[in-house]
Amino acid sequence: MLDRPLAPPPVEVIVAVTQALHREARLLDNEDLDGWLAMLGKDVSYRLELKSRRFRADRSPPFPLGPGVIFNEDLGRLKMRVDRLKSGFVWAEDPPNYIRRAVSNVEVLATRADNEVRVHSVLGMHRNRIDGTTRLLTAGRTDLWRSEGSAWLLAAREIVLDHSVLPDSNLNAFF
Amino acid sequence: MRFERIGREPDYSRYMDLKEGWLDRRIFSDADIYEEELYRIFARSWLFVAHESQIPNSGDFLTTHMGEDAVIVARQPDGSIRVMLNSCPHRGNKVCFADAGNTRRFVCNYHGWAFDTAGDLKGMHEEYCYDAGDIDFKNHGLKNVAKVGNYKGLVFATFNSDAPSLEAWLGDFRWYLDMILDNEEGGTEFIGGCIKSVISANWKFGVENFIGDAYHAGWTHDSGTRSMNNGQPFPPIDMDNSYHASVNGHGWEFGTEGVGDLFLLGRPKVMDYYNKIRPKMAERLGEMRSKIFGSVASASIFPNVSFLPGISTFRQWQPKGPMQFELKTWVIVNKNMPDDIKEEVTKGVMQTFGPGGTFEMDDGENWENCTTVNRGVVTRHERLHYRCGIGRQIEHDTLPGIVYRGQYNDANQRGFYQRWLDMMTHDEFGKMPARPEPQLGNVGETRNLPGLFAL
Amino acid sequence: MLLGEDEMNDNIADLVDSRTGRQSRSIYASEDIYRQELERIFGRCWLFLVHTSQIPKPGDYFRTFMGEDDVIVIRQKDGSIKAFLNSCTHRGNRICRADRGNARAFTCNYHGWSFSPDGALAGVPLENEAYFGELDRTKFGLIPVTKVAEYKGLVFGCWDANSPSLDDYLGDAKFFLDVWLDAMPGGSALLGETQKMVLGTNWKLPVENVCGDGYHLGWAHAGAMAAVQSMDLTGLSVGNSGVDLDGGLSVAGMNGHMVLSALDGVSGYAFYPDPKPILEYLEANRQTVIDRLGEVRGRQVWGAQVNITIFPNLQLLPGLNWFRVYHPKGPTQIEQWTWAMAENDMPEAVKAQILENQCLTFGLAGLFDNDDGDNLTACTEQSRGWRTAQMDVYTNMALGRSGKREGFPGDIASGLVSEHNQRYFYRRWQEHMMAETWAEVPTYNINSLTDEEAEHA
Repeated sequence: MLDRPLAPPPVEVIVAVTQALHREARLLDNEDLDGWLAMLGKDVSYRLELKSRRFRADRSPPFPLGPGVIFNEDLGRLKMRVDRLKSGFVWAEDPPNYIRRAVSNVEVLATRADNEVRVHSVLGMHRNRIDGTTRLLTAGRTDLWRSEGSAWLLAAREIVLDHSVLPDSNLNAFF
Repeated sequence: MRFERIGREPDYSRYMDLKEGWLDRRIFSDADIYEEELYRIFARSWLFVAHESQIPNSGDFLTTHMGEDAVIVARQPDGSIRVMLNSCPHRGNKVCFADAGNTRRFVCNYHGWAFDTAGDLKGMHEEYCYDAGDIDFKNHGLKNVAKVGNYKGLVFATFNSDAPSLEAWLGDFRWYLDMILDNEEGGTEFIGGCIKSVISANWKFGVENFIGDAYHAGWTHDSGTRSMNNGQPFPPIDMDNSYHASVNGHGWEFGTEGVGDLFLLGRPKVMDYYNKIRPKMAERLGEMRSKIFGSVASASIFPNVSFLPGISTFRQWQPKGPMQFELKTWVIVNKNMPDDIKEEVTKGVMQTFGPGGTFEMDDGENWENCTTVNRGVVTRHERLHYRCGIGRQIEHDTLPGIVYRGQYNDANQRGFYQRWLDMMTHDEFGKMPARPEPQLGNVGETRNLPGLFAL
Repeated sequence: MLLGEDEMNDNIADLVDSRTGRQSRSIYASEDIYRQELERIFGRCWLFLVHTSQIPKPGDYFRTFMGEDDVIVIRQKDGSIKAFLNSCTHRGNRICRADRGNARAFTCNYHGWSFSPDGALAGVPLENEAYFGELDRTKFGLIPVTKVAEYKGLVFGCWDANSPSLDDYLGDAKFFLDVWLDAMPGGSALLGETQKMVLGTNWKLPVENVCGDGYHLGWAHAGAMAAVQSMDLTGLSVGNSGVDLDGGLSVAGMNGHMVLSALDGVSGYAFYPDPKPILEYLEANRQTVIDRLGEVRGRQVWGAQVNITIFPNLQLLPGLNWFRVYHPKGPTQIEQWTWAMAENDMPEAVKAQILENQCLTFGLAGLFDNDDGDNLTACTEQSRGWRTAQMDVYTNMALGRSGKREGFPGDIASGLVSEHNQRYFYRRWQEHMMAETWAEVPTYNINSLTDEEAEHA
């Protein structure tokens, strides 16, 4: 059977999911990490793969075990990261750093499942750290959001980071 | 004027052997050498500061740099042009923050010291706080440069009171310069504004690229050439009838086919225009120069100005440390061109050598990598190859300067670095050798010299 | 250089006192000292280039740095490995701007000169038209790294023709390197892409941190330990509330190379949330390793937490399984490159778990790595002030408490919490910085074992 293009999702869905993205960014900016965890599906997959700069014509085979990751998290691992940040021992975050996320280029697309949408977005993360060191990290994201009850939950996120060398001394932050 | 710099007097000749054709890479990255360049080259040369068309009226001014020194270039009520340091003699603040404009006064933001367009101190905020004798108005103006000169619209200035006249500095290179500055009645003008970009490369890479490097064009700009010209590659070079000509570090590389650069501009109407005026150009400048104009060509005026005759981009490489320059580009056209042709030229320049131009985009990356790779201590001690065409010098009965046959050549680059070495080595300006001995003499108009050369 | 050579040497003699464990902070920020390091340390020592597993086939290449010099390491047709400055001999342009790949030729963007994988200048556009066939191409090949050599998969390069052989340079550190490189018959490999990060630190601070500093673990990484620790590591606990000095060794006095090692044969995997599959692999193969490396290394060291430092800028941690090189970028900045390391005999699932866990703990968002960056950066920053630059810092923990230990080479102090190794690191640094040539750099392998002793230990 030939695939027919899917009709765009209803406007109410687009608005609700876009609001969820903005809410998520606000919760993270405000370090409401438990609030953020509550926006994640039980089976959430949260990934950021490593890349390398290669010539367009390069024919090197892929690594058998994959390129390695910056994040490859399920809900348990994300909870573990949150636990660490909340442990009181993460000196790099004390005093807290000034972090602000801007979400843009949001596209909400229908999927074959009625209760799921695919979402493309761009995240700019401004981090002002010790002694005024400021870094702007940018990333593209492709998400799967699922409606459960009255809420939209993040079911999967693939992040593409736009830096070949990480320009900061840590990544104690979620995209 | 001499600028003393405390420090070493190194032997710069160890950084190159131009008879063998090599350079040491440290001249492209070393901070001490760069500092010395600012004193010995930029503080002593005639430097391009403006085209007179940029400041036509009394009170018109623009700000620019001579080396790393910020200056104001201002048109005076009597029509002359003055160039002065853009720095208040009181606490040193920059007095003019605009790129260009028209004014009667430059007023410093800090304490309100006010200067007229000649740079004379005219007054200040709360002037009564100075007692009589505290301040000598005459000696606290904006510091004027030693000399200002104008060659057919191009305004140059120098900090060096010992410098020869601008005509002598350009010397026989004027024979070539007249091909862009005087190929038609009415002279030239800059149109549009100045486009600035910052490139993390040594300033000399830009100059040497334009002074002689036709060789990179077919490779570096292959994609640009093809995209501008229906998939056609770079036009073939006739090595028997193309040349490098070098005069005291200035240089022009060119063919004699008359159309190559006009073709690369990608604007047929412009090509038609020049073909139409070409017979007149031949009357004005002689047969040879009318054939050179429009050919594949590029040129640089020592130390830091370059242009592409025919393509009409005019540019200056302003040094900003050993590993950075600011590139300023303008569009230069003949004043008497019809407006629609001027517009075509502008479109063509933006499409080819604007910051998003099909050719411009390829170069910066190369120069940056040529420079930044020298951060390595091992790498920077390695030599570079400048030997191409080293045995092809000729005597030409029409072309002045040191002339080499064949446009694919490093001859002009060697001439540029020879002049660089001469200036870095000689304390006294007058003792620098002429390369070559002047042939035209100090005559004002190269087009009025039919007797000297069989044109 | 602002100081004359003699002045500089007097200065360096003063800057470090490895007997009492004192360093001047200026060694972490001074531009002059840094310039001399580039020449006397990075221009002289054997530097890690690549693991053979990263360029398995002819034409495979990997771009890296030796000090600040950009180099390409290329596998040749005959299987050998060569390395060259990544810079065209014509105008100096960088010829390769990719991180890695496979290529039949490297062609410069500027004028199109192309070089074959053996460095030869293979093609010059318009060679006849522009050069009239007069260019002697044999003189303009890529500039080769003076010496390139391999030790069991690790490829090193060196600029100094008078350096000792790689074998002699590594000296007794090979005793410990073999615990990864030669424990199992299949040898070793690095996994995944390069994890690159810019840090505002002097390059010596991360080296000193990993070469000997077990002390920071329980404090700086308390949050991460609380989150993932699943086993005891020589009694080190959250908040530095306890330590077992008999459980590990600080080993130095091996030509400037250093090792920290626990002795329990399993604690390398203490920071794996689920170490079971790896512990099973260790126990299934332990006898093989004992047969190959002897009782001490096979039973006590293989599988334990081991930190190996190869002077000046290579560190590898079998167990936590990260492999790291620091490229200096000025006195106060580095680029830190990390990979996961594995043994080829490991089952695929175990290798995958290692890559996964290395990224989790010491990757770009690593639970542990996230703690170190700011400390190293701030130690560097605090060496730049006018007053602070005149101050000293100290590595004087457990002075004079070292000696021989049965079955091991090196001058050894007890425990992972000591500053014994750091003192040897700065001593080596000083030896190199004061020597004008390799001949003036002392060679020492304290308490060296014979091959036989090592095997039967």
